[in-house]
Amino acid sequence: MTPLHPIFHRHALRAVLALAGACALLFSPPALSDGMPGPGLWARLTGAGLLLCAVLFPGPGQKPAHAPAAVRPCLGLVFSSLLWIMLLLPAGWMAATLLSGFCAMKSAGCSLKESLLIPALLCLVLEAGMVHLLQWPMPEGFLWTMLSGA
Amino acid sequence: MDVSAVDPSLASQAWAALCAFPLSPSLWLLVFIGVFAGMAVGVLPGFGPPAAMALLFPLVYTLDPLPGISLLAGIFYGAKYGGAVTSILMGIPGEADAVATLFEGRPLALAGKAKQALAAATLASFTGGTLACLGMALLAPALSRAALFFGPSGRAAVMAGALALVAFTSPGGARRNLCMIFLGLALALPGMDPVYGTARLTFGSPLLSGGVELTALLLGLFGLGDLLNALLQPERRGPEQEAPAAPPLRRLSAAMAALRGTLLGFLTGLVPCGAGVTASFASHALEKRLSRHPEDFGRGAWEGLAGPEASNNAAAMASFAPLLLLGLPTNPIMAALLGALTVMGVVPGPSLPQEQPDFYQGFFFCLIIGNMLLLAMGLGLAGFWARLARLPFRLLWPVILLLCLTGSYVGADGLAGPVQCLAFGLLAVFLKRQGCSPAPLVLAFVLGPRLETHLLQTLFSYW
Repeated sequence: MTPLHPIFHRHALRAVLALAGACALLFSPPALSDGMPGPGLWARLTGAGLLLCAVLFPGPGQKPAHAPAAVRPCLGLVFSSLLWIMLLLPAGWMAATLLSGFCAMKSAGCSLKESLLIPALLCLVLEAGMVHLLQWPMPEGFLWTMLSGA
Repeated sequence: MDVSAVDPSLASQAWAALCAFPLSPSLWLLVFIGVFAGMAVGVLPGFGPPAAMALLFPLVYTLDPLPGISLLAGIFYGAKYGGAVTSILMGIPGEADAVATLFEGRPLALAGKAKQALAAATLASFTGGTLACLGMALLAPALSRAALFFGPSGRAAVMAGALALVAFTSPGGARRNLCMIFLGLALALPGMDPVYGTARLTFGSPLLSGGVELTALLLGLFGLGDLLNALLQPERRGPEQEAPAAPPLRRLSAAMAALRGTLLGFLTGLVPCGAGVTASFASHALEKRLSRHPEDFGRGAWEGLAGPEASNNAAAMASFAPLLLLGLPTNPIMAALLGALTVMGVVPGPSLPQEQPDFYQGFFFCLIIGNMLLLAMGLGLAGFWARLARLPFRLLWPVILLLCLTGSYVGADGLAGPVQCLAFGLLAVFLKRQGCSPAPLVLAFVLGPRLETHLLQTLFSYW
């Protein structure tokens, strides 16, 4: 099953190309600067190429497949990604990874035990490898800092 | 520049390389990690080498150029072998260029010769990879001498020509590929203008002020995008195939097939047109035509397994030559490597062998050592790869998702990374539904700023 309506499906990429081309043409800096090629010249060339591509695009090659696809895991993936992005700064990377990992595992059809264990193991690996060994700055979360400070 | 200076004799170059090669255990360890990770990535579903490389970018940027790039290169050629494992054992080509391996490898596995087929594929990969490395070392002086004659206008023309070649020869059709190329060029526009250094098309958004992150683009298109596409693919269970009687192994003709495949792969690897796929299919067709037993093809012909395996590894190695000596990536993985080289201060071009001989010659040795490790791990750990290939996807994808998000955050050093990563993941699904491949898009994204710089330099000189 595909959520794309046939007309939208047929013309969507054309619309994307035309929109990108129009943005590149309309919002780029001037093409010439003091009579010399300016910072907007390349953007305008690309924009013109995009508009041409929008006209030339042959349309989708095949009709979207109507065979049943696993929509739940896909939605789970997108939801987990959004959850991770939203939780990262307030709750910290570890809480974000645990929670969104749990959601992703559940939507993938894993058991409760697997859904708790695998994100926790991943957190441990990332903590040891990224934070301690490589010392990459991962956000700890201001909520956690506030709570631990209080 | 003195042109003769780039043409040292082979013996002196090899000696210099031997002396320059740092025998540090950490370098060997990183090559090992790269090859191991590449093999694992090739075996595991839903996670390709460009995404794995992008995931390691933050680590690589903290290393010196030689170990860092050797680590990334290991992922590239290790994944070629991993693709062969899944093709032979499960009938699922992990990589596009492992499809030709499937034609003969799968029937051999069904006939109960999986172990021998894996060993033959490993030996052919080793032959192709190692001979192509040596060929590249031999050809490098000639290539770099030729490349010296390219000024900004020549380089712009070569890059435009390479993009045109990709558009017209990559699978999917010329018009679709052209659209992807212009979309890639457009994605490279936001952020700082590479010539004037002024902000361009950022719309005042902090998410766009630094432009589109290469790490986020790769992890989105090839990490999240592949995951989503794999999840949207309805599960197909074909009828159990009958086990055909495998033809006998003719060692000499299989070895000759590997040598022919190496030559074919090496030559196609130098051209930017999806070399691995072209080379492996061409090699399979060539072996079928040359064979005295063409009826064996499709039933497990050993020549049809050895030739394509050697050719796709030779093509992988040969594609390093245009990258290092011309700054021209021939596939998205090379485009990712070009991005990493640039960040690490290595300027690919004809003068690279003179300006950074330690890196250039050390890299050849790392490639050869990596091939030896690939041979050892391929033969010694065949059972492990087979077990890894059977890990359930439901356990893998949430882990890959979290790694992609974390990697894109670290790569961009901010929330712009994961946001862009998710957006590009959704874009990859959309493009796939439209029948478009993201590979030309990534090539154009990486080459765009370079092409712009050379084009403007050319215009300035003639204005």
